[in-house]
Amino acid sequence: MSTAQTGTFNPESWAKGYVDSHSFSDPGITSVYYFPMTPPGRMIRLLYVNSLLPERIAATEEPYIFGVDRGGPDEHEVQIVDVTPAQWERLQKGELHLPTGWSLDDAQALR
Amino acid sequence: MNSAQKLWWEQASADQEILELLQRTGVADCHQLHYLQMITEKLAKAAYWKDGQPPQKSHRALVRFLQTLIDRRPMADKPRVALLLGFSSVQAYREFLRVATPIAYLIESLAPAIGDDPNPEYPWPHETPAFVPVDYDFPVMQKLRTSAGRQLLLFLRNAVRHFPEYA
Repeated sequence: MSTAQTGTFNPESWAKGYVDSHSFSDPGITSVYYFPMTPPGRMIRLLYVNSLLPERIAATEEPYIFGVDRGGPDEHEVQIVDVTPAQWERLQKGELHLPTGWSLDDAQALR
Repeated sequence: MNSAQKLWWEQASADQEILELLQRTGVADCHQLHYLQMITEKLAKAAYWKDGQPPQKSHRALVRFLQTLIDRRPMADKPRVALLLGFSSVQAYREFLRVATPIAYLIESLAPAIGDDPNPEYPWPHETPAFVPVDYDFPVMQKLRTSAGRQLLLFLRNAVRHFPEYA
Protein backbone atom coordinates (compact mmCIF):
# COMPACT_ATOMS: atom_id res chain seq x y z
CA MET A 1 0.00 0.00 0.00
CA SER A 2 1.72 3.17 -1.13
CA THR A 3 0.41 6.11 0.82
CA ALA A 4 1.35 8.82 3.29
CA GLN A 5 4.65 9.48 4.94
CA THR A 6 6.89 8.17 7.64
CA GLY A 7 7.77 9.92 10.90
CA THR A 8 5.26 10.82 13.58
CA PHE A 9 2.24 8.69 12.86
CA ASN A 10 -0.68 10.81 11.74
CA PRO A 11 -3.82 8.69 11.25
CA GLU A 12 -5.81 11.39 9.48
CA SER A 13 -3.05 11.94 6.96
CA TRP A 14 -2.86 8.21 6.30
CA ALA A 15 -6.65 8.06 6.02
CA LYS A 16 -6.62 10.75 3.34
CA GLY A 17 -3.87 8.88 1.54
CA TYR A 18 -5.97 5.71 1.46
CA VAL A 19 -9.00 7.60 0.23
CA ASP A 20 -7.03 9.19 -2.61
CA SER A 21 -5.55 5.85 -3.58
CA HIS A 22 -8.78 3.87 -3.34
CA SER A 23 -10.88 6.52 -5.07
CA PHE A 24 -8.46 6.50 -7.99
CA SER A 25 -8.78 2.74 -8.46
CA ASP A 26 -12.47 2.48 -7.57
CA PRO A 27 -14.74 4.65 -9.74
CA GLY A 28 -17.86 3.54 -7.86
CA ILE A 29 -16.90 5.35 -4.65
CA THR A 30 -19.22 8.31 -4.26
CA SER A 31 -18.43 9.36 -0.70
CA VAL A 32 -16.08 8.44 2.12
CA TYR A 33 -16.37 8.79 5.88
CA TYR A 34 -13.53 8.67 8.37
CA PHE A 35 -14.19 7.53 11.93
CA PRO A 36 -11.34 8.87 14.08
CA MET A 37 -10.37 7.09 17.26
CA THR A 38 -10.61 8.81 20.63
CA PRO A 39 -7.90 9.04 21.82
CA PRO A 40 -6.05 8.79 18.51
CA GLY A 41 -4.61 5.34 18.05
CA ARG A 42 -3.04 3.25 15.36
CA MET A 43 -6.29 2.21 13.79
CA ILE A 44 -7.85 3.88 10.76
CA ARG A 45 -11.56 3.33 10.20
CA LEU A 46 -13.12 4.21 6.85
CA LEU A 47 -16.53 3.75 5.29
CA TYR A 48 -16.88 3.87 1.52
CA VAL A 49 -20.21 4.42 -0.18
CA ASN A 50 -19.93 2.66 -3.52
CA SER A 51 -22.61 2.86 -6.21
CA LEU A 52 -21.19 -0.09 -8.16
CA LEU A 53 -21.55 -2.68 -5.40
CA PRO A 54 -24.30 -5.29 -5.55
CA GLU A 55 -26.97 -4.91 -2.91
CA ARG A 56 -26.08 -6.87 0.22
CA ILE A 57 -27.68 -7.41 3.56
CA ALA A 58 -26.18 -7.02 7.00
CA ALA A 59 -22.71 -6.61 5.53
CA THR A 60 -22.19 -3.32 7.31
CA GLU A 61 -21.11 -4.67 10.68
CA GLU A 62 -18.05 -6.57 9.55
CA PRO A 63 -15.12 -4.47 8.34
CA TYR A 64 -12.34 -5.71 6.12
CA ILE A 65 -9.16 -5.43 8.21
CA PHE A 66 -5.53 -5.24 7.17
CA GLY A 67 -2.26 -4.28 8.81
CA VAL A 68 0.43 -1.97 7.47
CA ASP A 69 4.13 -1.44 8.20
CA ARG A 70 4.36 -4.09 10.90
CA GLY A 71 7.19 -3.24 13.29
CA GLY A 72 7.82 0.05 11.52
CA PRO A 73 7.27 3.64 12.64
CA ASP A 74 3.94 3.84 10.83
CA GLU A 75 2.55 0.50 11.98
CA HIS A 76 -1.23 0.60 11.98
CA GLU A 77 -4.40 -1.30 11.22
CA VAL A 78 -6.99 -0.26 8.65
CA GLN A 79 -10.65 -1.17 8.89
CA ILE A 80 -12.88 -0.57 5.89
CA VAL A 81 -16.61 -0.99 5.47
CA ASP A 82 -17.99 -0.84 1.93
CA VAL A 83 -21.68 -0.05 1.57
CA THR A 84 -24.11 0.70 -1.21
CA PRO A 85 -25.93 4.06 -1.28
CA ALA A 86 -29.09 2.26 -0.08
CA GLN A 87 -27.20 0.74 2.84
CA TRP A 88 -25.77 4.14 3.73
CA GLU A 89 -29.30 5.55 3.90
CA ARG A 90 -30.40 2.68 6.11
CA LEU A 91 -27.39 3.16 8.37
CA GLN A 92 -28.35 6.79 8.84
CA LYS A 93 -31.91 5.77 9.70
CA GLY A 94 -30.64 3.27 12.25
CA GLU A 95 -31.99 0.30 10.28
CA LEU A 96 -28.48 -1.14 9.84
CA HIS A 97 -25.55 -1.04 12.20
CA LEU A 98 -21.89 -0.14 11.99
CA PRO A 99 -19.14 -2.36 13.43
CA THR A 100 -18.78 -2.41 17.20
CA GLY A 101 -17.15 0.78 18.44
CA TRP A 102 -18.03 2.86 15.38
CA SER A 103 -20.50 5.73 15.72
CA LEU A 104 -22.14 7.89 13.06
CA ASP A 105 -21.66 10.81 15.42
CA ASP A 106 -17.91 10.55 14.80
CA ALA A 107 -18.12 10.30 11.01
CA GLN A 108 -16.13 12.89 9.12
CA ALA A 109 -16.75 13.22 5.39
CA LEU A 110 -13.50 13.00 3.47
CA ARG A 111 -15.09 13.01 0.06
CA MET B 1 -22.23 -32.52 4.58
CA ASN B 2 -20.53 -35.88 4.08
CA SER B 3 -17.29 -36.96 5.77
CA ALA B 4 -15.03 -35.97 2.85
CA GLN B 5 -16.64 -32.55 2.65
CA LYS B 6 -16.13 -32.09 6.37
CA LEU B 7 -12.41 -32.81 6.10
CA TRP B 8 -11.88 -30.34 3.24
CA TRP B 9 -14.00 -27.72 4.99
CA GLU B 10 -12.12 -28.09 8.28
CA GLN B 11 -8.83 -27.44 6.54
CA ALA B 12 -10.27 -24.47 4.64
CA SER B 13 -11.53 -23.05 7.96
CA ALA B 14 -8.14 -23.49 9.61
CA ASP B 15 -6.43 -21.79 6.66
CA GLN B 16 -8.95 -18.93 6.81
CA GLU B 17 -7.97 -18.22 10.41
CA ILE B 18 -4.33 -17.98 9.37
CA LEU B 19 -5.16 -15.70 6.45
CA GLU B 20 -6.94 -13.28 8.78
CA LEU B 21 -3.94 -13.26 11.08
CA LEU B 22 -1.66 -12.56 8.13
CA GLN B 23 -3.90 -9.76 6.87
CA ARG B 24 -3.97 -8.07 10.26
CA THR B 25 -0.22 -8.20 10.70
CA GLY B 26 0.48 -6.89 7.21
CA VAL B 27 3.00 -9.52 6.13
CA ALA B 28 4.21 -9.66 2.54
CA ASP B 29 1.49 -10.02 -0.07
CA CYS B 30 2.77 -13.40 -1.26
CA HIS B 31 1.99 -15.04 2.10
CA GLN B 32 -1.55 -13.69 2.14
CA LEU B 33 -2.12 -14.73 -1.46
CA HIS B 34 -0.72 -18.19 -0.83
CA TYR B 35 -3.28 -18.80 1.90
CA LEU B 36 -6.07 -17.16 -0.06
CA GLN B 37 -5.46 -19.43 -3.05
CA MET B 38 -5.36 -22.52 -0.82
CA ILE B 39 -8.58 -21.59 0.99
CA THR B 40 -10.50 -21.07 -2.22
CA GLU B 41 -9.28 -24.35 -3.67
CA LYS B 42 -10.16 -26.31 -0.53
CA LEU B 43 -13.54 -24.65 -0.15
CA ALA B 44 -14.40 -25.45 -3.76
CA LYS B 45 -13.23 -29.04 -3.38
CA ALA B 46 -15.29 -29.40 -0.22
CA ALA B 47 -18.29 -28.41 -2.32
CA TYR B 48 -17.35 -30.72 -5.19
CA TRP B 49 -17.27 -33.72 -2.82
CA LYS B 50 -21.04 -33.34 -2.46
CA ASP B 51 -21.70 -36.37 -4.66
CA GLY B 52 -19.23 -38.51 -2.71
CA GLN B 53 -16.83 -38.67 -5.66
CA PRO B 54 -13.33 -37.15 -5.67
CA PRO B 55 -13.13 -33.94 -7.67
CA GLN B 56 -10.64 -33.41 -10.48
CA LYS B 57 -7.05 -32.80 -9.42
CA SER B 58 -7.01 -29.22 -10.58
CA HIS B 59 -6.07 -25.96 -8.96
CA ARG B 60 -8.69 -24.18 -11.04
CA ALA B 61 -11.68 -24.47 -8.78
CA LEU B 62 -12.80 -21.06 -7.50
CA VAL B 63 -14.51 -19.61 -10.56
CA ARG B 64 -16.56 -22.75 -11.14
CA PHE B 65 -17.42 -22.87 -7.44
CA LEU B 66 -18.75 -19.31 -7.55
CA GLN B 67 -20.67 -19.91 -10.74
CA THR B 68 -22.34 -23.12 -9.59
CA LEU B 69 -22.83 -22.31 -5.93
CA ILE B 70 -26.39 -21.13 -6.45
CA ASP B 71 -27.25 -22.04 -10.02
CA ARG B 72 -27.00 -25.80 -9.52
CA ARG B 73 -29.46 -25.83 -6.66
CA PRO B 74 -33.18 -26.49 -6.78
CA MET B 75 -35.04 -23.28 -7.57
CA ALA B 76 -36.64 -23.13 -4.13
CA ASP B 77 -33.25 -23.32 -2.36
CA LYS B 78 -31.51 -20.52 -4.30
CA PRO B 79 -32.88 -17.55 -2.32
CA ARG B 80 -32.00 -19.26 0.98
CA VAL B 81 -28.36 -19.71 0.00
CA ALA B 82 -28.12 -16.21 -1.43
CA LEU B 83 -29.47 -14.83 1.83
CA LEU B 84 -27.16 -17.05 3.88
CA LEU B 85 -24.16 -15.60 2.05
CA GLY B 86 -25.29 -12.04 2.56
CA PHE B 87 -27.19 -11.20 -0.61
CA SER B 88 -30.67 -9.80 -0.68
CA SER B 89 -31.60 -11.89 -3.73
CA VAL B 90 -30.28 -14.36 -6.28
CA GLN B 91 -30.01 -11.43 -8.70
CA ALA B 92 -27.78 -9.57 -6.22
CA TYR B 93 -25.52 -12.62 -6.06
CA ARG B 94 -25.32 -12.64 -9.85
CA GLU B 95 -24.35 -8.96 -9.83
CA PHE B 96 -21.65 -9.80 -7.30
CA LEU B 97 -20.41 -12.56 -9.61
CA ARG B 98 -20.08 -10.08 -12.44
CA VAL B 99 -17.57 -7.98 -10.50
CA ALA B 100 -15.95 -10.81 -8.53
CA THR B 101 -15.29 -13.38 -11.25
CA PRO B 102 -12.36 -11.55 -12.91
CA ILE B 103 -10.67 -11.30 -9.51
CA ALA B 104 -11.48 -14.93 -8.71
CA TYR B 105 -9.83 -15.94 -11.95
CA LEU B 106 -6.65 -14.11 -10.92
CA ILE B 107 -6.72 -15.87 -7.53
CA GLU B 108 -6.98 -19.35 -8.98
CA SER B 109 -4.23 -18.50 -11.45
CA LEU B 110 -1.84 -18.02 -8.53
CA ALA B 111 -1.33 -21.76 -8.04
CA PRO B 112 2.25 -22.62 -9.05
CA ALA B 113 1.13 -25.64 -11.07
CA ILE B 114 -0.97 -23.49 -13.37
CA GLY B 115 2.00 -22.24 -15.37
CA ASP B 116 5.37 -20.58 -15.34
CA ASP B 117 3.86 -17.31 -14.20
CA PRO B 118 3.98 -15.23 -11.02
CA ASN B 119 2.96 -17.30 -8.01
CA PRO B 120 3.13 -16.70 -4.25
CA GLU B 121 5.31 -19.70 -3.41
CA TYR B 122 8.35 -20.21 -5.64
CA PRO B 123 10.78 -18.09 -7.69
CA TRP B 124 9.98 -18.12 -11.41
CA PRO B 125 10.39 -18.92 -14.29
CA HIS B 126 11.26 -22.46 -13.33
CA GLU B 127 14.15 -22.87 -15.77
CA THR B 128 15.63 -19.39 -15.35
CA PRO B 129 14.52 -17.90 -12.01
CA ALA B 130 14.36 -14.14 -12.20
CA PHE B 131 11.61 -13.18 -9.74
CA VAL B 132 10.92 -13.95 -6.09
CA PRO B 133 7.38 -13.88 -4.63
CA VAL B 134 8.27 -11.96 -1.47
CA ASP B 135 9.41 -8.91 -3.49
CA TYR B 136 6.83 -9.10 -6.25
CA ASP B 137 4.01 -6.60 -6.67
CA PHE B 138 1.12 -8.95 -7.53
CA PRO B 139 -1.50 -7.26 -9.74
CA VAL B 140 -4.25 -9.23 -8.02
CA MET B 141 -3.50 -7.39 -4.77
CA GLN B 142 -4.49 -4.11 -6.41
CA LYS B 143 -7.80 -5.72 -7.36
CA LEU B 144 -8.31 -7.10 -3.86
CA ARG B 145 -7.86 -3.60 -2.46
CA THR B 146 -10.87 -2.30 -4.35
CA SER B 147 -14.39 -2.45 -2.94
CA ALA B 148 -15.14 -5.42 -5.20
CA GLY B 149 -12.03 -7.20 -3.94
CA ARG B 150 -12.92 -6.59 -0.32
CA GLN B 151 -16.43 -7.85 -1.01
CA LEU B 152 -14.99 -11.02 -2.48
CA LEU B 153 -12.74 -11.55 0.55
CA LEU B 154 -15.61 -11.02 2.95
CA PHE B 155 -17.81 -13.29 0.84
CA LEU B 156 -15.20 -16.04 1.00
CA ARG B 157 -14.95 -15.66 4.77
CA ASN B 158 -18.73 -16.12 4.99
CA ALA B 159 -18.71 -18.96 2.50
CA VAL B 160 -16.23 -20.84 4.67
CA ARG B 161 -18.06 -20.00 7.88
CA HIS B 162 -21.48 -21.07 6.61
CA PHE B 163 -20.39 -24.04 4.50
CA PRO B 164 -22.20 -26.67 6.64
CA GLU B 165 -25.45 -24.78 6.01
CA TYR B 166 -25.29 -25.02 2.22
CA ALA B 167 -22.90 -27.92 1.55
